[in-house]
Amino acid sequence: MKSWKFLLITGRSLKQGQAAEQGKFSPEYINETTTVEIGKEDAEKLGLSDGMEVKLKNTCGEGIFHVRISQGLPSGILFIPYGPSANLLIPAETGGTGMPGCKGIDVELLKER
Amino acid sequence: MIRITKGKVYDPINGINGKELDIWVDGGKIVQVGDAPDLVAERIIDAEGCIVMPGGIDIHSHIAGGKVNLGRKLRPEDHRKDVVPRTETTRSGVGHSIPSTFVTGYRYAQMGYTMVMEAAMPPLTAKHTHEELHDIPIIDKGSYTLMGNNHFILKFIEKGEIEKVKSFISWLLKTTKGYTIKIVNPCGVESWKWGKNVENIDQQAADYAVTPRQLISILSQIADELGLPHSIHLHCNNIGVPGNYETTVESMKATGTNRVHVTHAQFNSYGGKGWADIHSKAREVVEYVNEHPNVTFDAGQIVFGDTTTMTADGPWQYRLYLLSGNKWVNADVEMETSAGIVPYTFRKKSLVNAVQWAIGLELMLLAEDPWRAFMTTDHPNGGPFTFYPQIIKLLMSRAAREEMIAQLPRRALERISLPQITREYSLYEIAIITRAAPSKLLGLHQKGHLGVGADADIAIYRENPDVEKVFSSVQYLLKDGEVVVENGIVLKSTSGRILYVDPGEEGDIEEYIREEFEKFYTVTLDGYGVPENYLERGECVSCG
Amino acid sequence: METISATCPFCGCLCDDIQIVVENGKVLEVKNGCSISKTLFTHHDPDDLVPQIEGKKASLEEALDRAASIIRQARFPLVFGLSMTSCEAQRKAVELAEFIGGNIDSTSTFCHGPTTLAMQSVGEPTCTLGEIKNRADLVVFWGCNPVEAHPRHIARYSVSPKGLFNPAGRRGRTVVTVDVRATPTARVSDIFLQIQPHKDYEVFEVLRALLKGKDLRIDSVGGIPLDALKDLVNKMKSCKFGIILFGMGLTMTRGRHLNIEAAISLVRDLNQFTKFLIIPMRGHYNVTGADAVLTWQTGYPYALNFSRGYPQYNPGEFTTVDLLRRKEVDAALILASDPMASLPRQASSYLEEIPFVVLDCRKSYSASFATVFIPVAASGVSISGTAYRMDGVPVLLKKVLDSPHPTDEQVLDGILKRLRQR
Repeated sequence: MKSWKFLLITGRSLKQGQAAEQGKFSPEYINETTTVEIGKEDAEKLGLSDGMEVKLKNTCGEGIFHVRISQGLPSGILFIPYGPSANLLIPAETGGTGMPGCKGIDVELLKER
Repeated sequence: MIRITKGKVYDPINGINGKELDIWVDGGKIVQVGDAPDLVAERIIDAEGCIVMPGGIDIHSHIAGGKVNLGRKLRPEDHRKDVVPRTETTRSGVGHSIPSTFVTGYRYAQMGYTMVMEAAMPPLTAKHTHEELHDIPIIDKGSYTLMGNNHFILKFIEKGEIEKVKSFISWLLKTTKGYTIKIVNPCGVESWKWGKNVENIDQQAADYAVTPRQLISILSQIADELGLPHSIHLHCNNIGVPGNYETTVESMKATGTNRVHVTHAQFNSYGGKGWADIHSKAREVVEYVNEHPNVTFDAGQIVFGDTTTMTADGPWQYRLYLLSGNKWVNADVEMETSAGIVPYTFRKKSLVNAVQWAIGLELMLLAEDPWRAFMTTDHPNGGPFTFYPQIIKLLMSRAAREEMIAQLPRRALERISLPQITREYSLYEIAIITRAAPSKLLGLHQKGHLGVGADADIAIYRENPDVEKVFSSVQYLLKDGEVVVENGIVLKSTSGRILYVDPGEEGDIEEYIREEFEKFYTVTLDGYGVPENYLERGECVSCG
Repeated sequence: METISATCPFCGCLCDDIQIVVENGKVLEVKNGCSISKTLFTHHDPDDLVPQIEGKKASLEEALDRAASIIRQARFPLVFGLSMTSCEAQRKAVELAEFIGGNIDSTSTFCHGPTTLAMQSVGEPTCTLGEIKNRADLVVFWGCNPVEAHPRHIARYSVSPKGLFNPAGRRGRTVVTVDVRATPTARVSDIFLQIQPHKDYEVFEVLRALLKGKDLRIDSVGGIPLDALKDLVNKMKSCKFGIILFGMGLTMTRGRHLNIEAAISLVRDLNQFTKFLIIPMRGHYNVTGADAVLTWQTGYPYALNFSRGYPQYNPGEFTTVDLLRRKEVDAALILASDPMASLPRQASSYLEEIPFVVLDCRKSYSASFATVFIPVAASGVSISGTAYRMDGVPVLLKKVLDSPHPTDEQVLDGILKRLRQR
């Protein structure tokens, strides 16, 4: 199965903050926290368009996300808003600091579920 | 009713010097002194072989608030050497130079102190100061509100609107639940907001055509006019700088005959052009104090060892960072003040530190009037307050001083006059500088003495040839008439009062400043002050 | 209909100028608030929450009894969360953790914990937000995205407001953003430097070298051309008042606390040339308060353990992610946080293996998995109190709406009383 390597950044988004206040089980929150942003160039290269589902996996776990094409992302980088889905992919090792590395995580993107 | 009997009583306000007297306590107050055949006590405290004094009062200590807490956060290495487990009656915490809140209260109480004044409260973060004071058990507390670099005060002075300055100060004291006007490096801290400072008391602030001299003069006048129970509390310009004694003397002169308290004078009594020729000018500073009854001072004595320096004097703390290379915290507070924190170790082998050590003692020993000289370490700047017993010993014993002087660099000796000073404080004088005089300085009639009607805050120490041991730990401490410490062990964690003032002269200043306040502050005016419910036992001390 | 003044209990901006129009216990309008603030106040619906034990409805008394029993039986419990409640509740949480000899940790553990580590190493030259508004002519956002995470920061504090010594407001400031992504914050900046992931430390050190006048024989670092960095250093040196505002982009990426140490060191060094300060952008509205309360009561801001009767501090050992990942704790009490949603699954999944209690003002992921869930009134919505803004300024939380539920403080006190009774 063909896969592509990316670095994953997780972080806040306005919608995620707002949707969390609507409720963690609201469709808005679930939708926003299962979104993966990808740069335009990478999306074209991979033949991805808004709303398509992709699988992301790494040594921690895997999850299904739907694509949102973003102007702001450079090639090779993915972005997922903070939430339970992003956390499937974040390693819990803290290097003795207490802080897991939530940004710049190695992930593989698979177009097939 | 408690009867304290057979102890030697030291109560300078009532002129009692070591006489054996019974003290009768009821309802939190002293109800009788001496024989009282009609009274029946439920408890008799046998104070034979003990010294009985009013509870100690520390007029200047950094124990609570944003700056103190940044200091705590900065220094896990300071805490780890002094850990305090919880007991059935007390909370856990840490000690040494920046004790946690609970431990601060316990340790003061264990030394026989019953009241401590927090020396620097920024108005904007006054709630923080009061939240911490709430968590400091047993002792009574109050806070000095920082005003020497406040936008509104500087602006009104610049425009010559002195009545507005007065109204504003009255309002700010009430709003922050403060006790008096604290001035720290006036105009210098304002200049520090651009990374600058003032070099003398006639140099204007960076953004206002106001000099420190003007500000000190006007604010000392206002403190007297408002009838504040305590004078202005002044941290002079040029702290820590060789040659700064001239600034200190000029600052005292700037108040004319108005009351002024010069705090941690040791840090402001240096001669010389630089570190190479720094020497003591304690004599010159004390001479001015001796001749001017409107002036009081505290020592700011240093203690050899590791501590954490912290002041509202941002530029000075930056300078100390450059000198020491130690880690540096700066915390500027919009519109009003600043703060800086730098860990520092005072070393016996350091020429400069040796001179500093001698100056603090010289100030105390050369001061003719013990009612106007106060023992502090400017905790934790000169050293932790827990070293007070050591300082008492140095004041009381020339031999103890000589032992220490012998360990100093020889080159230091020609720069100080301490070796020639023979004076030794008596116990009575110690009771003056740590109890009686502080209560007078703070304008408190019910504290600092053991007369009928006084708050029953009483420290009972076991006599010992080694006076440091005497004052390290009380045999008994009564706070508001309750035995809270016995044999050095905290039995009960009570909550102390918060003392503040409301001079009542604010007029309509709050509405006058509202628009400008909300334009340049980042909080609303209505959310700025300290609500009553922050003060578990608030007590407004009257002015005038 | 009445209008009530409020403080928004969402992010570390703690805007205290919110006006809420309320009628019959319903919020009609939220004035001055950002879009999140509006959602927060209008979607507040505590009525459908009930205490639960193992997913089944229970009375408050039953829930408190069970919570106390879980904690009593635990040998190495964890008290976690704290950042979305008032200081009054945080104080009570410390008291409880101390009493049971357990661990206590706040969400600082996975936001600005590394900032604390850096601060403890090199210090921190900082200021309140009004200093930026009144003075700053150079604002650098590094690894943070306030437009989305702190929606009013830019308008209220850091970019557009006119200040006492900056009457021109936005026009009087140069705004720089350094980020991996071209975020909305980058789009409102004058200069955007797109940095490669994991390269922040190197870029800071290059800036420090340039500041010291070192000649560097490289063309670029971290994806940023050296000339752009030279230009940035010149701007930093020549401004009148500069500020770096930084976020998770530094704390959560490779280097963690070392990135912050480098950032703080750069800022510290800049003070030899001009006034330059740094502020961490704290996320949850009272995470700064959690740091403050823990610090004044124990000496340490987070990652605490009371097993020996006194507070011990050790990030990496007593931090929540590590305690869970290593499966060390045997019970947990979680308040004002949702670790099942916000921690790495590798760590949070362990919560399903142990009994745990959740106090929350809303239905969270953690609440739905909890052994005991106790709904509480929302601080800043239904109860007043104190919270600390990201810059350490204490702000009053206000009561806007009634709640049928007890406060965090009352629930913790109820548990503590039960524990003491034994």
